[in-house]
Formats: sequence, structure tokens, C-alpha cells
Amino acid sequence: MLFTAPAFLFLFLPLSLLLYTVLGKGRRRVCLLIICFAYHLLLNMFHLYTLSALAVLILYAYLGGILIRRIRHPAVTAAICLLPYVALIGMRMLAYREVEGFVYPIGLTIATLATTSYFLDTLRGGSTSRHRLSDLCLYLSFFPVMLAGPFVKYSEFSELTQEDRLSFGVVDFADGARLFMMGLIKRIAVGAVLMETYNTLVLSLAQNADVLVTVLAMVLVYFGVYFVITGYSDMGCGLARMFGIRLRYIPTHPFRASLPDEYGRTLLYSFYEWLDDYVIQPAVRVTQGRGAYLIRSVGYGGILLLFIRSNWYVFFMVIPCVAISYLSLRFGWEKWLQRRYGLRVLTGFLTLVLAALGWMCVTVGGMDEVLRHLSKMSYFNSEYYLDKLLVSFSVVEYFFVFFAATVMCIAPFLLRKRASRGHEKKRLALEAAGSLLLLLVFSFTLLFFLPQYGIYDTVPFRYVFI
Amino acid sequence: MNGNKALAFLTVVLFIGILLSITLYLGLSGFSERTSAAHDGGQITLFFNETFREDGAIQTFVRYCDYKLFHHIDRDSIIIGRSDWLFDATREDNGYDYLLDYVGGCPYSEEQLTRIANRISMRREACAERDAEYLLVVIPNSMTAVSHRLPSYVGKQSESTRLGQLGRYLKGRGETSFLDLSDVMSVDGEEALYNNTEDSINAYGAYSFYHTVMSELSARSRDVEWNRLSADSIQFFTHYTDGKSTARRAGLERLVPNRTVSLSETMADLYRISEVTEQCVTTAMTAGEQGNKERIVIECSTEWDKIQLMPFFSNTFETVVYENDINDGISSLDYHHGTILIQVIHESELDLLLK
Repeated sequence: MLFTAPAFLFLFLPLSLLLYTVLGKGRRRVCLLIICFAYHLLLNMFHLYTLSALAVLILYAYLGGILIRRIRHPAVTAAICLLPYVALIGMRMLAYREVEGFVYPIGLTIATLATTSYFLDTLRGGSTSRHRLSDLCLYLSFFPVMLAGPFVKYSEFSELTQEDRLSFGVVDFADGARLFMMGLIKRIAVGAVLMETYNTLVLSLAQNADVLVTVLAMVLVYFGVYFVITGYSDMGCGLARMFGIRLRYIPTHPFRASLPDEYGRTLLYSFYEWLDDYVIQPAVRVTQGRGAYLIRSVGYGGILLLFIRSNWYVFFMVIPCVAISYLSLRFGWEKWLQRRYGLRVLTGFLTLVLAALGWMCVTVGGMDEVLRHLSKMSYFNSEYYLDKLLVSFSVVEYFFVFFAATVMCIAPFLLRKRASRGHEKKRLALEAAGSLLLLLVFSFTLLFFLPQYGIYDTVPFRYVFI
Repeated sequence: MNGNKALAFLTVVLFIGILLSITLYLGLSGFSERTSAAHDGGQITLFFNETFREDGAIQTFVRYCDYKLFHHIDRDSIIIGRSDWLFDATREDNGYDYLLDYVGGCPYSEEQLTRIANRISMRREACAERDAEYLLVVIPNSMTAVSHRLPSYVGKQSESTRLGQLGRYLKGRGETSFLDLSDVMSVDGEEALYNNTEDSINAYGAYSFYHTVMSELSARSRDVEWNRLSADSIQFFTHYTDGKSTARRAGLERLVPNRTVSLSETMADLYRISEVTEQCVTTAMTAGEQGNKERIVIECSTEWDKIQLMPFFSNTFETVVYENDINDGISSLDYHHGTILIQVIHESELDLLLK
């Protein structure tokens, strides 16, 4: 029962919001905890052992936190932090091998990253009131961010979820609803359409390596992945805001990235911040600044990739990514490119190609498959494959998807402009029109696109385990 | 309440309203019956998801919007054309790819062309030995005949389609028994000879077939006076029915009506069915009626062709045998002691000539 499942949208969400409203001030934290546990129970009802993974993680984190507060030693903290990752990698290996009867617990990666945040925030100090089991349970089970973030630090989250900070007003709720609607439109009306087209193209590419179809597949996977990830992220922010938790919302546009590591950082910005705060900065401090560039490039180029997929072939992709990241950091390529528009466009295009190829490797299951395919590309019967494509996929539908995608990309900036004063009536009128348009597209998405993508009721991503 | 709050309130109300209205609709449409069988919350969510996806009204809405707004259906074996025309992209029984042939992507090799040509000439010669006429008539695909109804992205038909290629090759060899109806069946105006929701001819198309075959037979036997039905004696009427097989496969039979052209019921049938076996149907003109004396054997690959052609040929010839399949050779001519053998094949079945 993911956020795009009808049961979540039309049953769970209205009921949980009703409960949250009715219980009123003073009991909202408890209510939120109940809602989070209910969600995880319903999500894992058919595989109850996955629930135990979360329960074990919470218990481990709680006991680990107690130990860290007693001992306060960095090495012990590091060891305690690493253990969940061993279990995580083990579970991912089981999932990649498609072991019968094993279902990868949804949201386990984010929850594991969250334990690291808890341990390190505990080590860095703080008041004892932040270390209640209820705080930890709420943090690790907070379902809105479990699919694609945004990642929230424990210290920040525990402040935001104090009873007196949980604001439940109509303006916040409306903002949350708008973000949620935008996220759903991005995930289903845009992301799902693009990725399903991509899936079909990949299947046809397995038989015939046509140039045009390959180029189209690359474009589709590049944009499809962006809308899938940001769709879930927007829905997460929106849900949190509906419950009165104002998570930091930063609209991302990796399309402007001129280098591959910049693309990764902008696409997965909250994971990048976690990486920076909990891995890179401490590592640089430990080495006293020696090898800082290398550490950063391994983090941005390597760990980021492994976060997406931890297969053996990804290690081969890590090497060039780390190398490019190192050179970029060492010689300040990003700043240098900012003053050279033409070159920036060229490197941006190359970044698009590399990112698309990277995603194709992840989805197809190996760089060798992609390289073999690229080596066989031809224009033979191109007209036929393009016609076949247009038979399967409506051009008019893609115009609609493009329109929805453009509006969803621009909308956050329009929302932020709301703060500016002047021409109040005109601004309100525009905002009202924007909200109505959003509601219209949202309704259409619910009734037209949602029924067609039943797979996303239980599977957040087809190729990535998060 | 200031402007911001008012707008926010409106947004919230509409958002919750949209969600709850769908909840109520699903709750009333059978979800509650399904949940009585649920054991736990997981099953309830599963049943709810299924109720949503299987709801008839929602499915109809999706199909309607997909077709009307986006000109698309969820089947890649069907092409949506203009003005409610549906075309098959692939044939399920023999794997023929209409689109690939249309763009000239699967031409015959020289060896294949020679093989087909030899087969046709062998049949012609065998019939000639028996003093019989032989005709292999090809009904083009609806895509070929009504190509102006295809969507604009498909483009013009290639010169290298199999039918075109075969026709040119046989013409070069001087083959006279091969009759390609592409020019006859291609009509630019509104009076199409095909059903718009199936790759099959309607009564107009059957009449054009009949007229062309009769003209060909007349041209071959100049010393024989051929009776034939005059255009005045034939009445057609056009009406709209539910979509045919292509529309049914797309789930659009109610949305896309078929423009059906049938023979008027006032048109007199001067024949009766005299014999029905597993392999064939024989018709004979009723006593007192005079038709052409030749015994004609028509081999059709589809039941529909037989039904469409019967009113014309059976009202013209005293005895007509309709075979249910295309034979390899002229065995049916011998069996039925026929004097004319017509094999009716579709453009999408040309590979039968290779077997």
C-alpha cells in the first residue's frame, strides 16, 4: 500500500487525517505514531517478517543510542553505525538474486540512513528529552519520507515533531495538499508514463538495436527517473506538511547539471546532505584534511551510486564517476564552467548522455548489455520501429505529459513567490487559478492514469531497492 | 478570513472532496460486499485496490479518454486511424506484420517470388488442361486500400510491399491468372469498401470484387455471353452497428461503431443452399431461374468472405461451390467438376502461396 495505491489515497489518508484532526492538540504526536505504525502494518501485512526488520532496527537504534551516550567514543559509534549496513547489503543481495519467498522491506535504506543520523546526532550531544523511545520510533517509522526522502536529520526531526511545533492549520494543510498533488502527478501522470514507455522500448531493443529507439529510450529514462524520484519526494513533503511537519522542501532541477557528480548531487540532494554531514565531513576531520578531495569524490561519485544499486557491475561504474568527481573538485571545474556558457551546454549534454547510460545500466542489469546493444545499433527499418512506437504510445498523451511535467516543475517556484508582496489581488487570482488547474490535473490523474498503473500499488521502483 | 486563508480553505475542501467522493463511489459500488470476505487489513486494502481498478465505470472512462482525447488504446497490435478507422498492426494467427509490410520492411526474395510464380502458373496450366479457368484474386489489406485513413505519422505506402512486389514480378512474367484488387478497392471518397473496425470487405467491397472478377472472366471468354447482376438490381443500405473484431479486441466495440454496408433485404435471392458439408457449401439457382451454366468453385480463407460473395455469385451462376479453405493445388476443381476455379486470398495471407 504505497502512496499511489487507491487504498492509501481513498481510505488510509482520509481516515488518518480525520483521526489527526479529531484527536486535537496535545495528542498529535501519539496520533502520528499510531498512524505510522498502522501504515507499516498495512504495508507489510502479507510479509510480516519485513515488519520485524523495522522493529529490530528501532530496538537496535535505541540500544545503540544508550551505548553511545554512555561510552561516547567515535570508533564505537562508527562500529555501531556500520552494522545495519551489513544487514542492508545482505538484504539487497537477496533481493538482486530474487530469492524465492524474500521480499525486500520497502523503505529499509532510508531507515538505515536514519539510524546513522540518530547515532551521530546522539554522539554530537543534545538534551535527554530527544532520546525517548517514542521520538526514535516516530523518526524511524515516519512513512512519508521512507521512499525517496527528503532525508531529515534526527535532531531536526525531533524538534519539528515536538507537540507544540506540530502546526495543523488550513494554510499548512493546503500547502501540503498542493505538494502531494504535484508529487502524485509527477509520479503517475509523468514518471509512470515515461518509465512504462521506456520499459517497452527496452524490450523491443533486446530484439532490434535501432538508433532512434535507443536515443528515445535514453531521453525517457533520464526524465522518467527524475519525475519518479521527485514525485515521491514531493508526496512525502506534502504528507508531512498535511500532518503539520514543515520539512525543508527544495525543488531540484538536475537538468542544469554540467557534470555527472553535480547531476547526482542535485537529483538526490537530501542524500547528498546526509553524506556530507555524516560521512565526508567526519572522514575529512579524521584525516585532518589530507586527501579531502579524494574522500569527497569517493563519497559523491561512489557512495551515491552504490546507494542506488549495490550490484557488482556498479563498482565498475564507480571508478570513472570517482575519477570525474575528483578532477572536478580538484580543479574547480564547476566554478570554471559557470563562466563559460557554451562549454557548459556541451558538458551538460554529455552529462545527460552519461546519466541516461548509467540509468540504462541499472535498469538493464549491466554495462556489458548496454555496450553490446550500442555496438549493434543501426538505422535498418528505423521508420518501422518509430511507427510501431507511435502506434503504442499516443503523441497527444505525451503532449499532455509534457505539459503536466512543465507545470509541475514551474509550480514550486510560483508557490515560493507567494511570499512577495504587491499586486495582492492579481497574485491571489493567479494562485487560485493555479490551484484549480492543479486540482483538475490531479483529478484526471486519479481517474485516468492511476487505474492503469496497478504495479505501483506495491512496488515503488521497478529497478531500485530503497 | 484573508485571501490566503480563503484560498487555502477552498483548496483543502476540494482536495478532500475529490478523495472522499471517490471513496464513497467505491464504497457504494461493491467494495463493501468484497470486504465481508476479508480476514485482515491487508486483504481489505487489496480488495479496495482491486475494486478501484476493476470498476466498470472507471475502465470505461479510461478507455473513452484514451481513445477520444489521446487517440490511443492499450493494444500495440491496433492502429488508431482517422475518422474512427481501426487497423490491425499484426495478425495473431499467422504473425503477419501489417505495418512492416506497409513500410516495405519485409520484401520477398527473388527465390520466394519465383516459387510463388511457379505455383500460380502450375495451377493455371493444370486448369487449362481441364479446359477450366483459374484466377487467384488478392483482396488488399484495409491499410492498403484506405491508406488515407491511417494516422499521419505512418506516411505513404512503400513501393516494396509484398503485394506490389509480387504483382510487378508476375506482370513481368506475363502471368494472367493473378488479380490484384488494390486499385479497385482503393476509394478516396466516403464510400469505403471495407469495414472501419475490421480488416474485411463490406457489401460494396464484395460487389467490387464480383464486378472485377466477372469483367476478367468476360474478357477471357469473349465467345461466351456472361450473365451478370446489374448495378440497378443491387440495393445497399448503410447502418451503424457495434464495432467488429478489431474494435472488440481493443475493448472499443461500443465506442467505435462500425459503418456496416449490407445488401438490402428487398434484393431477391434467386438461389438456395443445396448442400452443406464440413469442407464446402454448394448453392444452386432455384427452378426457373437462369444463370451462367459454368460450375464455379470459389475457395475462401474466411467465412466472412464467403458470406459477402455468396449473394453475388450464387445469383449469377447456376451452381457455385464455396470451399472453406484455400487448397494447395486444384484438387477442389477436380472434386466438384468445376469449370472455373477462383482462389480468394488476402494480402496478409500471401505466405500461404509459399507453403
